Amino acid sequence: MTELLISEITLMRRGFCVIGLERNEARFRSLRPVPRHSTAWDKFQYGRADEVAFDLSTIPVTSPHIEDRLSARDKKLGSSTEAKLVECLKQAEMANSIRELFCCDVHSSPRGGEAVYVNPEDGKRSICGCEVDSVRFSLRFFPPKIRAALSLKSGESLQSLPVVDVEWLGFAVNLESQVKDKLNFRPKLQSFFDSFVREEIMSSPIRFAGIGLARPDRDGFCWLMLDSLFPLPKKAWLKEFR
Amino acid sequence: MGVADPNSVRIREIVETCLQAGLPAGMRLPEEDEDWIESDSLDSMGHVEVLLSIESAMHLPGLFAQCTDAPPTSTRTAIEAVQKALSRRSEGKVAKGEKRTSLEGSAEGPGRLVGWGVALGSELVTSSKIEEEFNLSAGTLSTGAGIDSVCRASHEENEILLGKAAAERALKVAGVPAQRANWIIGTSETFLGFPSFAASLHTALLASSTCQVLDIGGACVGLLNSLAVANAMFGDPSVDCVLIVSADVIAVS
Repeated sequence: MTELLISEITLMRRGFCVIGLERNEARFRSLRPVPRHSTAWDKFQYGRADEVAFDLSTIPVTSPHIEDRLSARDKKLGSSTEAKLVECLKQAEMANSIRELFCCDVHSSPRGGEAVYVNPEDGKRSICGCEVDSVRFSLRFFPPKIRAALSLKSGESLQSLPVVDVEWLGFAVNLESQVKDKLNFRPKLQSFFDSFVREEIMSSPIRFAGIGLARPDRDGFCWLMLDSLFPLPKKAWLKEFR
Repeated sequence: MGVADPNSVRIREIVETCLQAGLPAGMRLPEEDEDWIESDSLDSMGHVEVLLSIESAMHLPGLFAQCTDAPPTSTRTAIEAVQKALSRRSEGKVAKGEKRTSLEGSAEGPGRLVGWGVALGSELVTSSKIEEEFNLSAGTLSTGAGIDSVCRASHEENEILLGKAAAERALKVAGVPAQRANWIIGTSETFLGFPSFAASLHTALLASSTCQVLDIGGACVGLLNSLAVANAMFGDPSVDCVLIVSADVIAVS
C-alpha cells in the first residue's frame, strides 16, 4: 500500500478531488487517488494532514493530470500538523514563477474574464506549490464561488483564481450563516476577508499556496485553481466576525 | 409601437456579446430568461468569466458585488443588474455635482486625504556610526543636525517592498482595500526598473484589474506633483479613490 499525507481536498463539479504526498527519497511527490468509477469522490472520510494508506495502481493518464492513480482500499494511519504538512509541500512540486508552475505558458481567458489556463498538452503536471507574497479574496460571486488573487515572490500575480479548497469554502459558508442581514451579507463578508482574514494569512509563517489544474473543459482549457491556501481558516476566526 | 431606449439596447448588446464570447463555439445564445447554468450553456467557470467581462465592458468594476441577490444567471437578470448599477451611479453623480464627496463625504473641494502610511528601511544606523563611516567629527550629525539615527534599506528591501508596506498602512488608515483604488500614482527618483514603479506596485498590492496606474516625476517634489494630479483626477466622477505612493531607496546597507 502507498502511504500518502493528504495535502489537498478540493470541491470540483463532480465531487471531491484529493491529493496526497508520497515520500520519494529526500523529497515528496503528489499523487491523486481517484475512485474506481470517477475522477472525483462522492464522499471522502479523511481530512487534510491525515496519513492514509491507499491501495494504488497506475492507470493510463492524460496530460497534465499525470498524478492520477486508481485507488482500491484505504485506511488511516495517523495525522500530522498543518505546519508539518506545509514543510512537506515545500519539498514536493514547487515553482518560483507562473511559468514554472506547470512547466509551460499560462494563457489569459479568451472570454474576457481574468482567469488563466494552460493547454492540456503543454502542462507537465497538474499540481504545484508556491510561496505567496500577498493574497486577496473576492466574494462578489459568493455563494457559491470565491476567487482569490495571489502575488508571487517573482513579482507576478494571478488575478482571479477560483478557490476550490473545501476548508476555505466551508469557512465562508459558516460566516454567511452568521450574518443576520442576508441582503447585505456580501459586503460584510468581503470586509472581513479584506481585514481580519488577510492579516491572519499575511502574519503567518506558513503562508503557502497550492495551485492546480482543472480537467479540460468543453473548450479544452485546463483552468488554474487555488487548490489550497495556508494557513487554513481556523474555527476561532468565526468568533471574530461581527 | 414604442422605440427601445438606446441605453437598454446598448446594455443588451454588451451583455449578449460577453455571453456569446463565453459560450462554446457554435452554441446559440440562450433565451432571455433561460438559466445559463441549468441549460448547460455555461459551466461555473464560464459563468464567472462572463460576469467579469460584463463588468469590464460596462466599466462597472465590482458591479455584481453590489447585487443583494445571487449573481445573475440569465440575460434578463444580467441586464437588470447593469441597469440598477448605472442608475445608482447616476444618483451618485448628481449628489457629487451638488456637493463633491470623497470616500467619507466632504464638501471641501474634490480631494481629501483619508489615509497615510510610511515605511522605512529596516537597518537602523546611529549617527555616530555614520560620522565614523564618513570621517566626520563626533557630534556633527547628532548635535549639528539633530539626527540621532537613519534607516537604511537592507539588501532584501527595495522601493516596491517599502512602497507596498507604506501603501498598505495608508489603506488601513483609510479603511479601504487596495481593490477600491481607481488609480495608483507612483513617484520615485531611484526606481529605474521595468515594469514601472506604479505598475509594479499594482501587482504587489493586487489592485483591481480596472485600477489604472501612472508614474509621475519631479524627484523631491514628486509627491506634490502627484497630489496635484490626483486632485485633478477627481474631476472625473467615476474616480473616488487615488492611491499615491512615493518611494526612494537612497542608502542601502
